[in-house]
Amino acid sequence: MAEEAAAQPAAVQLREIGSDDVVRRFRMETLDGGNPYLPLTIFLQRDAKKHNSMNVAKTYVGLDGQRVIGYISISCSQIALEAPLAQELAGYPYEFPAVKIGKLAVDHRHRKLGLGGQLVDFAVAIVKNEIKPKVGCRFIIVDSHKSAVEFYQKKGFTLLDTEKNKARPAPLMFLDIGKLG
Amino acid sequence: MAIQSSPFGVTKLTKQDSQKFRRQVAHGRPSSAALESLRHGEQLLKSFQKRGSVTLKLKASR
Repeated sequence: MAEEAAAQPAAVQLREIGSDDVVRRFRMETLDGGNPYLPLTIFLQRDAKKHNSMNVAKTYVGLDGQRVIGYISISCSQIALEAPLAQELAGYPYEFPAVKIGKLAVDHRHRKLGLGGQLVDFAVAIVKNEIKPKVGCRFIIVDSHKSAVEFYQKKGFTLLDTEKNKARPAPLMFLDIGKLG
Repeated sequence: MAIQSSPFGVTKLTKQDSQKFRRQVAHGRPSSAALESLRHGEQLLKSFQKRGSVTLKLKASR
């Protein structure tokens, strides 16, 4: 299918998603045998504005004019560990408040411009500077698409280093906000 | 199942995943990459807090 050539903007506006933002032209690439990124497109086009207004997940968008070319959605979450009885009785925490990067996507015509990385940087700063000081929050977590593991590692995220996790389609990665000062 | 997770929900770790997570957290130190990400994010956040939006400069396409 022929596709429009996309002019690359030199800059985009980052802000919370708005009701007038154009989401219908957002595209992720189709690979042989399917479109593994379709849920990211569907979320933006169908759910992101609704979830934002309902405070289920906050979505921040990169805008070229009014058109969304990238976004990140974050929400409150939790990482719950299995607690040996002794630790539980000693009051050692085994449920940690976290913020989850539920979705992160950049229109495939605007990849390799550094937008996704800046969206993550922004989310890290929100959690560290706005959430953590006022509400308990220890981690940022993400179920990373396998192809994005290296991307998140370059942002300082740690891959949970177990064979089971590494074998998942979307391995768990985390950033310990508690150690960022 | 040792890892249960959903896009906007709780992530539960059991067995080896839970133990490994504890160890990685206990011994982990913030990487220079994480600190650099935070430093840049804080610059963006400062502008965002003033105006409700911030301009992101993008790399030139190759």
